[in-house]
Amino acid sequence: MEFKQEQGIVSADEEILTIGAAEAESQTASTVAEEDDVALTEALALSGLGFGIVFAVLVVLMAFITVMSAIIRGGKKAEKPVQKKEKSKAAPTPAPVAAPVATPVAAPVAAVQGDADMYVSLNGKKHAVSVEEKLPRFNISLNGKTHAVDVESVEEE
Amino acid sequence: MNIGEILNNLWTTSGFAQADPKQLIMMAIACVLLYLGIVKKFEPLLLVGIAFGMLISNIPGSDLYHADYWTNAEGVNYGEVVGHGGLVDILYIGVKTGLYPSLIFMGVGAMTDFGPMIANAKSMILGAAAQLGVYFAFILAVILGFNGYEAASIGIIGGADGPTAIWLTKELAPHLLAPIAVAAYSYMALIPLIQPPIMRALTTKEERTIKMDQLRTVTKTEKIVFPIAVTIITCLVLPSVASLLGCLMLGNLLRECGVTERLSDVVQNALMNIVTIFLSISVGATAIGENFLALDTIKIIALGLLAFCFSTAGGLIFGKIMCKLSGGKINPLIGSAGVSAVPMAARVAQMEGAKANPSNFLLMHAMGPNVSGVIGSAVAAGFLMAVFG
Repeated sequence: MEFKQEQGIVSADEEILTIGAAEAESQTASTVAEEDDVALTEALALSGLGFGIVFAVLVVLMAFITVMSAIIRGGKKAEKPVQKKEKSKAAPTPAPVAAPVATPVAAPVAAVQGDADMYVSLNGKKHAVSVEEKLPRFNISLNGKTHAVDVESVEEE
Repeated sequence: MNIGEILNNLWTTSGFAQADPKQLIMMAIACVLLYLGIVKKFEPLLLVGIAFGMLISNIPGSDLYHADYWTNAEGVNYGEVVGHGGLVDILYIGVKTGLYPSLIFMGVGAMTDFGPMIANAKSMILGAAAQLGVYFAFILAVILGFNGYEAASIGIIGGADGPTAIWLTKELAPHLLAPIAVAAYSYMALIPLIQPPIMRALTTKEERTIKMDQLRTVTKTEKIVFPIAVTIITCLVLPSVASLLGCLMLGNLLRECGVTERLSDVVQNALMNIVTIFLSISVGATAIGENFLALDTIKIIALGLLAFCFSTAGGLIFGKIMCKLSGGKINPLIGSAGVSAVPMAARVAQMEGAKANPSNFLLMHAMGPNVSGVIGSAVAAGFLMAVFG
């Protein structure tokens, strides 16, 4: 009898424990569901923050690339305005092509045409050329020969 | 055992006897997607695999994929997957662990020339602006009743980047992986139809005819330093995106450094193709009837389209602002290429520019925003992962 009573108490306790666990589970589930949900104001704030971070990261990268390029290219940008000033002083004239020089060709013509540094008009025909810059005098590779060119002015399109 | 019993067993184990109407509908949808991929050539390299994965996983009794292995609340039991899983279960490990999207990014990096972006660093702003659709779709998804995890996964469709969408969704809302992947890749294929009307609506004829100056040549040193620097800067800000961006930049470094041509070749071709097959089959196979045939799928498809449209609009609006600020030297059409579908979005910008002015060549200018959009969408995904992951 005692055993039965004890058993009854034990089973009742188990029932209470089971009910308690079920309540706790449902409470946890509802808390998780509430945590998963995002209010509209939160969504707006997160969107603003996210969009801002994307912009910030890409702007930092942009600034880095600009500085890196300036350093690697060795201040080429600084030379451009000087050339533009010359344009206003002198009338635009085609760059004279000097006699071929004896130095070896820097790059073969086939490669030059695929990845040209600039284009020059010569005898009414447009040519892709590679340029070895030593302004105001530089060498160009054209049809397999290297020519020394003096820059007198730069004409923009 | 008599012939009657054998025939009865054959019938009861056949797919015909086990067929469920939802599975048959999914098989029909798979056939439609196969038609779009093969006949209409909508992203065939991916869509054919996705559609075929969808077809075989929905064949009754095939047991190639078990959704319950992957949605277990106690976590994935990989011993069970390897020991008792089907073929697609084993392939799906690469999706679940984030292996395939990262390897695809390595291939994308090895195939991408970041030169146009380095030559015109300002174009990175357009890559950021074209992530507008990600956040717009995120807000709309919250309004439509999706929870934060699901809304973040739906929003990333606006990044127009399939691997990024898969990478984020497998972590935040794996039960939505199939509709999100199908929406992302379908809309990427439909970019030539989706973008032009928005481009024409948001720009004037004069703006579309603007010719841009030729880009400068980018030195080899710049191209080598770029992937290393981007990895360091971006991953320091958002470490969660290290696997995606790290792989993208590793692939690009293999391409540009000049001493790993064999590796670059393997990553661009063999590895990329193998991973594409595994990824497309396993993503398609997750589209099982009970998950896919739901109202949520229709909502996701609609939200994905809106996300693409708003991303395009974001790029174009910032393109117009940059056009004004530069005194009309920037054609705003290149802003639409800020959505990262490479190189499709840049081609669309080129085509629209050429329609307005046949002597206009915008392709290389549009490649700048296009490749920066890849970085932008990865950063957007990294942010959402950091918040919800």
